[in-house]
Amino acid sequence: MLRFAINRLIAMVLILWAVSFVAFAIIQLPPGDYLTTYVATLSANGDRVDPAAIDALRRQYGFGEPYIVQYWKWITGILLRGDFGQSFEWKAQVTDLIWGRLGNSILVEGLAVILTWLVALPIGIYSAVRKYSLGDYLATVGGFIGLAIPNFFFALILMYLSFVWFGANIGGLFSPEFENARWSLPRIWDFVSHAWAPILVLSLSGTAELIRILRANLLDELKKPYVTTARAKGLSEFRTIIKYPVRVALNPLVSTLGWLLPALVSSSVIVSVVLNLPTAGPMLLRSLTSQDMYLAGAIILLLGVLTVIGTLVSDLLLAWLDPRIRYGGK
Amino acid sequence: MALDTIAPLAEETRPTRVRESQLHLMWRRFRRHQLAFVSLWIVVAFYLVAVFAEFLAPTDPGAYSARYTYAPPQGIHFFVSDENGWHFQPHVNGYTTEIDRKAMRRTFVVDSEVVIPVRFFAPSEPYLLAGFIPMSIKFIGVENPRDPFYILGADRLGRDMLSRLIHGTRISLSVGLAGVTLSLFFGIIIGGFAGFYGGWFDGAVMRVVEFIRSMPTIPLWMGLAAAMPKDWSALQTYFAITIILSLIGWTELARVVRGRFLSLRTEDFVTAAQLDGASDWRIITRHMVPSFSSHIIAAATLAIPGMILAETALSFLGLGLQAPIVSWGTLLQEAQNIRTLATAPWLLAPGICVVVVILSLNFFGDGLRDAADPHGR
Amino acid sequence: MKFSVLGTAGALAGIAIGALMLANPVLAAQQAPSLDEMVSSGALPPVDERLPENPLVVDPVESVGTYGGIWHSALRGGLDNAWIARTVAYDGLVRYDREWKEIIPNLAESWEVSEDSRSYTFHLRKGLKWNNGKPFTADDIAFAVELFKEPSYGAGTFIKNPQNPVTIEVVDETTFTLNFENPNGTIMDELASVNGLTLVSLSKDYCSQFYPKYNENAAEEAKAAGFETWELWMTDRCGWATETIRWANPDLPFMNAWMIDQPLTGDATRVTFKRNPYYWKVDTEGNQLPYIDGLEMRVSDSVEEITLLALNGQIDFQDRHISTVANQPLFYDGQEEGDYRMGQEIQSSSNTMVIQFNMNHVDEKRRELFANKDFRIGISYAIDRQEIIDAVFTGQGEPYQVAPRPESPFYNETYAKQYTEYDPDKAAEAFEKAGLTKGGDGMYTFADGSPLTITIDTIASLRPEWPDMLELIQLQLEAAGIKMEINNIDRTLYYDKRPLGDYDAQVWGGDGGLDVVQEPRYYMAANAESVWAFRWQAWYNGSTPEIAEEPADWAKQQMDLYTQLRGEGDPDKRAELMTQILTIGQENFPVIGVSLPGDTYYIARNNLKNVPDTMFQAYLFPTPAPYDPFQWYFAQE
Repeated sequence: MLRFAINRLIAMVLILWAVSFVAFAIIQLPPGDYLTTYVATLSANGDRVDPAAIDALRRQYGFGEPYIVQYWKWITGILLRGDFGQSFEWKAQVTDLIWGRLGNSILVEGLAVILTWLVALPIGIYSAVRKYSLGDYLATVGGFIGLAIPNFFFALILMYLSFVWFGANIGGLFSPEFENARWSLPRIWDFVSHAWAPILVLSLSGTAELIRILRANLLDELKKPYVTTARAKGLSEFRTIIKYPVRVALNPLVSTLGWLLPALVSSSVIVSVVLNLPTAGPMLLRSLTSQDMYLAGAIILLLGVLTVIGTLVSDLLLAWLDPRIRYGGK
Repeated sequence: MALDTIAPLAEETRPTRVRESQLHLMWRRFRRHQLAFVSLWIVVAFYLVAVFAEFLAPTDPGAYSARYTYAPPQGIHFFVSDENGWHFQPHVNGYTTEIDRKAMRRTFVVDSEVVIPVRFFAPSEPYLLAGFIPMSIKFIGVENPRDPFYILGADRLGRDMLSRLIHGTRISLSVGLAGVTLSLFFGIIIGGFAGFYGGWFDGAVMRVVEFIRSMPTIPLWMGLAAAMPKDWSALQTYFAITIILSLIGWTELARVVRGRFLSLRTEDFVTAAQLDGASDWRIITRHMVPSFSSHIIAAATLAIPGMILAETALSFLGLGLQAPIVSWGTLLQEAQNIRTLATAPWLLAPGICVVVVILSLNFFGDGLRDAADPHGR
Repeated sequence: MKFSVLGTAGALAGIAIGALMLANPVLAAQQAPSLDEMVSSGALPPVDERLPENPLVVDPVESVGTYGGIWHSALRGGLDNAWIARTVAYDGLVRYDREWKEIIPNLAESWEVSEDSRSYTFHLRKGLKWNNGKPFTADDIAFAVELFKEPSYGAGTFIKNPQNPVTIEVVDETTFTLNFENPNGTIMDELASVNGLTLVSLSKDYCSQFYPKYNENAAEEAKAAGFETWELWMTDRCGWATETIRWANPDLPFMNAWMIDQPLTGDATRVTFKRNPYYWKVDTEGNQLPYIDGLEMRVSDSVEEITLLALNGQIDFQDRHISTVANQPLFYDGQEEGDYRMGQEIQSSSNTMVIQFNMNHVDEKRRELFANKDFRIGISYAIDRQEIIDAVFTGQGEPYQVAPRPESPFYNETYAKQYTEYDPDKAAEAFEKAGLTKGGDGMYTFADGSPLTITIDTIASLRPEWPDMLELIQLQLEAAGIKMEINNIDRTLYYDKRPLGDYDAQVWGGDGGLDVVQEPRYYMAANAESVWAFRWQAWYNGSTPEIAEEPADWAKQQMDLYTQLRGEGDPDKRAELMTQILTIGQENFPVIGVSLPGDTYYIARNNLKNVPDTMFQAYLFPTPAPYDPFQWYFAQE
C-alpha cells in the first residue's frame, strides 16, 4: 500500500507537470498573442496604436522568446516564488485576480455537486428498487428533460421567467449591499436568494445522469445471488440494499468523482456568462479569447491540481468501497 | 446502437446458429417492453427523417424571405367549408403583414379567409436526396412556392423552421452517433485492456486519462479548434468536431470500464474461463464485456445527448458548426436570446426535439439492457 | 439637420467661446446638499474656493436641474472601459458642442493658432483643481508630454507621432504652447475627440513618484511592489486617458465630474463613481455640477441580464450593448412597464457592412481580379440590397455605398448611390468585362477556366447581423454565378491575416460616415484599417516597410492630397482637399457597401431629464458624453 501511495504521488507530480506544460502550449496555439488581440480590440473601437509602442510592449512582456524559455520563466516563478505572473489585460498580478473567483466557483459548484448527490441518490435507489413504477417513470422523464435542456438555455429561461413573473433579476451572486460585506446571516440569506438559480441549473443535468447510472448499476447488483441470500437470511430490505449493492453500484460513479470539478467549471462557463456569476469560468473564457496567457494558464493549472487531488481521493474511496480492488501485483 | 458494438464482437467468436437464437431471444424480451418498443420506433423515425431530410423538408434550410421574418407558425388545417359544406382539403392560412415602424417589427395576423392548399408529394425544384439521388418531388408543399408555408413558423430571416429542424436532425443525430461510437470503441478497448492486464499498462492509461480529464474542456476545445486548418470547409470542420468530442469522451468510459474489469477479473466466472484455457481476448469479449453490457448501454444512451449538447455548447462559443450547416445546436444557439423567448417561442422547437430524442434513446436503452440481461426474468 | 464639422471647425473656434459663458455667475455658487456637511465640518473648503475663477457655465438642455440620484448602467464584462470613456472620462482641453459642429472650450478657456498651423497656445482656466484639491496647471500637461515621449512607455497618440514630433513650452501656470515640427491641421479635432484625453489625464504631483526622472528609487519601488519595470508600475498606478487600468486606482487624481468610489478591479461585480467636489462647471444659476450624485455600473458578462435590467427599469440610461435591431420591439413594448423612454440616435457610420476585396492579394490572378473595378461593380449589382434591408433590418435603411452620410457636408449622391440597384444583367455584363467566363454549371470561372470561389472573412461575435447579411449575399451571388464562402473566424486571426495578404475579402463596419476627414479608410488607402489595400497603406504610412507596395497612381494622388490636408490650417481649404480625395475614391470604387444604417436608440428612465431626444452615435464623439451627462438630473417626484 505504501508503494502504491508513493507511485501515485510520483504520477501526480508528473501529471501536474504535463498539465502545466500542455496548458501553456494550448493557450499559445491560437495565432498571435495578447498584443495582437489588444490591437484588434482597440481598432474595433475605432482607436489605433502606434506599432512602435506595441513593439516596445512586446519586448517588455517577453513575447518574442521561444516557447521553452517562456515556459521555464513561468513555471519557475510559480514554484520558487509562488508568482503566477501578470495578467496583461488587467495589468495586475494573477494571484490577486483568481482566488476570489476560484473560491466562488468552488462554493457554487460544490453546492451543486452536493445537491446533485442529495437528490440523485435516493431517487436512483428508489428507481432501481421500484423499477417501472410510476415513480420510476416520473423520475426518468423528469431527469431526462433536465438532462436534455442545454443548461445555459435553462438558465436564460429561468432568468426571463423570474423577470416576467416577479420582476426580479436573479443574475449575480449577491445584492449590491452585500457584495463586499463580511459573511453574516443576512448575507448567507442574500447569497441563497441569488445562488439557487445557478445551483439548480448546474445540478440539473448531473442529477439525471447520476440517477440513470446509479439505477442501471444497482439493477445489476440487485439480481446477484448474494442479495437473494441476504434477503433469505432475513435482513431488512433497507439494509439488504444499502449494505452492499448500493456501495458496489456507486463504484463507477466514485471513480469519476475527481473529474467533477473541471467538468463543472467547463459546463458552468456558459451558465456563468448567462447568469453573470463571478466565478472562474467566465474569467477563463475571457482570458483565453484575449490570449491573456498567464491568467489562463494559472486557472487551468489550478484546476488541474484540484482534479489530480480529486482523483487521488476518489481512488482511495474506491478501494474503501469495493474491497475486491487490489492495487499493484500482477 | 449499443447492439452494433456488441454484435460484431460476438460474431467472431460464436457459431452463427447460436447467435441467432440469442438475438431472437433478446428481441422477444425486448418486444415485451412496450415503452422501449415505442421508443425504438421514435428513434427510427428520427433517423429516417435524418436520412430523407431533403425530401421531407418543404424548403431549403437556407431559403429566406424578407417578407416573413419572425412569422408565427401557421398550423395546418385539413378541412375547408364552402357552399357545398365541409370537405377535405389540407391547407394553411395566409398572413396579413404589417410593418410597425416604431417598434421595428413585422406584425402578422393569420388570415383564415386566405386558403393556401397544401399538396403531398408536391413537385419542386430538382435536388439530390442524400447528396446523390436526383429527385424533383417533395413530401409536402404548397401549389405556388411564393405563398408562405411556415407550419412551425419562421426565424429572423424568414427561413422555414420546419425545414431547418429537419436538416438539423441529420447533423445532430449523426454527430451524436458517430461521436459515441468512436468514444465507445476507444473506451472499451483501452479501458478493458487496462483493467484486465493491470500493471504498467493500466498505470500509463489511467495517467493519460487523468491528464486529459484534468484539463477543463473549454481550453481543450479552443486549442483544438484553433489548431484546425482555417481553410477547411464546413463539412470537414463538422467531422473534426465529432472527433474532438470523442477524443475527450472516451476517457470517461475507459475509466469506468477499467474499474469494472478490475473488480470482475477476480470473479469466479473469469477464473473458470481462464482455467478452461480461453484466450484473454475471448475472456474479455465473451465473458467480461457482456457481463456489464447494461452499464455500457446506459452510458451510451447517456453519451449521445452529451454529444448533442456538447455540440450546442461549441456553437455557443463560436467554435461549432458554421453556416450553412444547421444542427439542433446551432438552432438553439440562435434562439438563445431574450427576443426569441419573449416574441418567437416557436424557435425553441429544436429543444423539444432534443428532449424527445433523448427520452426515446433512454427508454430504448433501458429495454435493450433488460433484454440483454442474462439474469432477466 | 445639416452637419458641418469635422475637420472644418477646429482652429477658429477659439474665438467663438463666449456664447456659453455669457452669465458669469453673479450669484454665489451653490453646491450639492450632500457636500454641505463636509464643508461645515471643515473636511472640504467652501464651494467658491473649490471652483476656478472662471468656471465653465453650462447651458442645460431643458432646464436647471436638482441635485441627487444615482445613474445606473452596466458594463459588459470588466474590460468594457469604453462605457466609462463615454460617461465619465470625456473632459479634455476642449470638447465638441452638442451639434458636433464646433470645438468649444473645456479645461482650456481659449487658444491661439499660429499662421503656419505649427504652434498651438492654450490658456487653462485659472484655479482648476484635481479632485484631491491640488491645482491643475500647465505643468501637469508638460509632465504628460514628457512621460509619453519615453520610447518605452505608453500607447501612441500625436505625442509620439514620428512623422510630426511635438514639443511643449510652458509659459506660465495656465499657459502652454504645443510646437509641431510640421503644420498640423487636425490636432484640434484630435484633442476634442475621445482620443484627446491623454494630455490631461495625469497629475504630476501624484504620478511623478513612479517616474525615475523625478524619483530615483522608482525602479526599486516598482520591483518591491511586484512589477518588473517602472513602466509597468506607472501603467498600473497612472493609467492614461480611458485605459481600463485607470479606473482601478482610486488614489489617482481626476478632473472628471465623478470620481472613483468602488474601483474597476478584476473581481469587481460593480463599479461606482461619486461626485467630484472640485468639479469646475456650473449651471446658468451658479449651481456646481454635476447634478447626479454618482454612477453605479453593474459589471455583467451577460448581455441578456443587462437587457432584462433595462426592461425592468433598473437602468437609467444606456445604449451600449443593448440597443440592437433585434431588441427594439422588446424595448418598445416594455416602455410603460419599465417606466423608460426610447430616444433617437443617428449613427455616424456610413454603412451596415463594408465588403473589402483585397486588391493586394498575394495570388497574382486574384489580385488582378479584385483590383478590377468592373468585378467589384458586378458584385455590387448582384446584391439585392433592398431584400437584405427588409430581412435583416426590418426595412430600415436604404441601399448605400461606402460614402459620406447624407448629414455630412461631404455628401454626394452619386457616390452614395452608384451601382446600388439590383440588376443581374448589368452584373453579368460587368463580370464579362472583368474577364470572367461562365462555366457549364452557370458559375463564373477565371478567364483561364480555373474555378473561382471567393471567401469572405467575418467575425460573428462582433456584429450579429454580419453573418446573416453574408448568408443572404452568398445566395444572391450564387444566383449571379459567383461562388462565395463565408469564413467566420476569430478576431486575432482576422488581424494576423492582413499583413500576410492571402485573404480574398474582409468585412467591417462603415466608419467614417460623418467623421470623413479623420477616418478616410474606405475613401483612400489611409491606415491599417484600409484592408482593401493593406500594402498600399503600408507604403504610405511607412509602418511595415517589409510588405509595402507602391500604390496605383490614383491611390498615390489621394495620398498626396491627404498629406497636404494634414498640414493645412485653413478649414475651407481642408474641406476642398477632402472633396478631391473623395472624387477620386468615387471614380475608383474601392469597396462595396450594403445599406445606410438606420437610426438606433437609447433608453432612458422617464424621470431622467436634460437628455436630448436625438443624439449622434459615434466613438470619436463619445456618445453620450458630449451631451453633458453632468447636467442630466432626476426629476423629483
